[in-house]
Amino acid sequence: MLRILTVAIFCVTLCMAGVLYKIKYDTRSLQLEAVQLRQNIALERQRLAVLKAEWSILTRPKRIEQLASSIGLQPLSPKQIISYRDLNNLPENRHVPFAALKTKSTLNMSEKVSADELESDEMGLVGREEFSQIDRLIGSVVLLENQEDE
Amino acid sequence: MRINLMAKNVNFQGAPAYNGVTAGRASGFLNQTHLRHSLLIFVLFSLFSLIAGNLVSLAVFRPNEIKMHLASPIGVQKSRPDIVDAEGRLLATDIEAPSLYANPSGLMEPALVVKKLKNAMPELDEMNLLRQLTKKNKQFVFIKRGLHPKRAQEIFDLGLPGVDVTPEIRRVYPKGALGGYVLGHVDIDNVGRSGIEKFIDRARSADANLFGADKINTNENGQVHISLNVGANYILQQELSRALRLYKAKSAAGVVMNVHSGEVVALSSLPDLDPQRPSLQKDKARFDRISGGLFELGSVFKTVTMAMALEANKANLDTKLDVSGPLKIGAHKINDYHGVKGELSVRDIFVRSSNIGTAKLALQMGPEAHRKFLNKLHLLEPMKTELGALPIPQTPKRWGDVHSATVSYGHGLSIAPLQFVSAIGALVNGGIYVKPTFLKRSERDAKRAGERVVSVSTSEKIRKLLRANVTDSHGTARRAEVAPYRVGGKTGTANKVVKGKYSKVKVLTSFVGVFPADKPEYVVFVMLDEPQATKAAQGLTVAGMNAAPTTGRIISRLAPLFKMKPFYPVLNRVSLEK
Repeated sequence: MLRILTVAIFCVTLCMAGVLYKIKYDTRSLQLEAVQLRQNIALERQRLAVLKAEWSILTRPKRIEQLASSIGLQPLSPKQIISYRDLNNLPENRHVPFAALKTKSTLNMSEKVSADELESDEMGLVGREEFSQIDRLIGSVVLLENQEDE
Repeated sequence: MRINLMAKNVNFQGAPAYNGVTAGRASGFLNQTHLRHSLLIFVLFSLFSLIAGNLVSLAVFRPNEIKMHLASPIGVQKSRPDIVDAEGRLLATDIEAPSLYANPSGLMEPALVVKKLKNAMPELDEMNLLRQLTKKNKQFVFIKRGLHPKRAQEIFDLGLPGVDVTPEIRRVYPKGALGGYVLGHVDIDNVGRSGIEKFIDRARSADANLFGADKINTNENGQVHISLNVGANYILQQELSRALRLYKAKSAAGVVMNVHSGEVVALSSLPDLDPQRPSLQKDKARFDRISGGLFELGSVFKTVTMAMALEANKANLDTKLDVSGPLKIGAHKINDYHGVKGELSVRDIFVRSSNIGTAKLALQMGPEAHRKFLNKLHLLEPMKTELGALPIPQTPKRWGDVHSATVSYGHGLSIAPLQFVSAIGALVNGGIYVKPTFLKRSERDAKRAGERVVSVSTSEKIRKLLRANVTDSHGTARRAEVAPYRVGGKTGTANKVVKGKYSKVKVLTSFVGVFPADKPEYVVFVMLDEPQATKAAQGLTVAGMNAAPTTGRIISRLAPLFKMKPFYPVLNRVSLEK
């Protein structure tokens, strides 16, 4: 009877040892995975930081101004701001502000932007890839414009 | 099973001794076996418990070692918080910018390596690099620091032996010189050296926290929110550089401050400074004139003198004073630019910018009261902002009648423009002085820390005076008007001191403008150093011809940006149609 108990206890201990080992190794691999994930997160964060910085460069007021004027946009004029109450008093055949938009050629404008961006390249931050990004951006703006024409 | 058997053997070997001891008791065989078994079980159990316990402890505590091993990457301790503008636009951030370096002693064919590098980076200085790389006694040469990560990868992929990439943290300022003086700069170790960058380091260090003096308010993303507005700053910078061209001035500077919260919304000083290239600071012309320079501001100071006279009830807007010149105080004579014979009301003295009238108002008060009032407006004491201490105002050594008279129209007292602008803010915001700040701050917080310096009615009168200066046909600030926004302001043309004497030709013109004039929210200050009598200024060098229209243009562009409703007294069909 006792012998059976001994053997049983021994077997249970052995099993537990086995389970423990497995858990231990699982934990270790999970831990490695976690470390890897953490490293990936750090890497992604770095990339994100670079992208944010690039975005901030691309949205410099000067550049936005040039892009906006290249599609015929103008700074907001005080005449375009009117209170809700005054809406009824509007002169009858007042031009819709959008009708005043003039479409200019975007070709020489894109050259200008590139030249402007070259300046920021001195900082070593904007690489050649970003030129194509800018080109793409200009491309999409032109696209929108054409759609509106139709 | 083998362990079991061995354990039994060990036990059996010990058994005879045990038997020897118990034999004398003459207990039965069965009893003995039972005892043996119990003992065996006990020993085995404790042995296995030990192993099991060890296993558990190994499984639980071992992972710690792994964690320690893969500690955080180098350079994290150098990282700095992002700086964002009032609307959350990124102004400064840390990015990992790999640096490219080479080990010249390990290079086989330097010329070939340089050629390949030149292909990848056309901006490289070929000759210089080749000279560096052929120095065989050198172990380490930086080829380029602060590369775009993508570019670094490209070069790494070239697989050049002896050329390697090392990660470094770089502070970048994506908006370039916009707000450059406010942001300050960091050194090669990413430590703040000036401006907000230095402030961040000060606030983060233990000393500052001990005194509880400086605290940085970071938002939920851990970014430092400053009060600058990128759009407003761009407008200011652009208009100032236009003025610089148009009036051929040596330098130009401007600041926009929210009069209720004390937040500096825009600050620009030309020539400006790109924080990315702090070495440009060696150029003496590149400094922040607004918070780092002392100037005799001239007639803009009359606003303060007016406030003093009105606050003390020594005069009201219609009180008449004789302004026939010259005014003699001892051996000194004071003259007017536009000489008027006879009497002028206080309102007209301000509008026509009469030195004599203003000096008389100051003399009525007496030098001591004058000094006290200026002190109350914090115009004479040292002042500190997040950017550090402002230069200490240069005040007359003693306050006699002459000094009081000259200070009344802005001469003999040199002051940093920011200090003056915050005093003007207090005069027009209802009379409460709020300390200027470069960090985001709510109006409520500002008002709570603010102090009343003049009464509401005095503030009201100052607003009227400033507005009158723009609308009156004699007003010196006429050219600052930008309908349909209502602007108020005061011009200042100060003769510069050259070799200890006031120059007749060289002037410093300034303009302090507030808008909307009937209930100001912002004060705009523009200063031009040595503007020339160009055609655009109609051949004159007075502030009304250069600084005033510049401020007007700035306000006309800022107002829509700040979503201000244009002012139409009665909607006029004709004016709208135009």
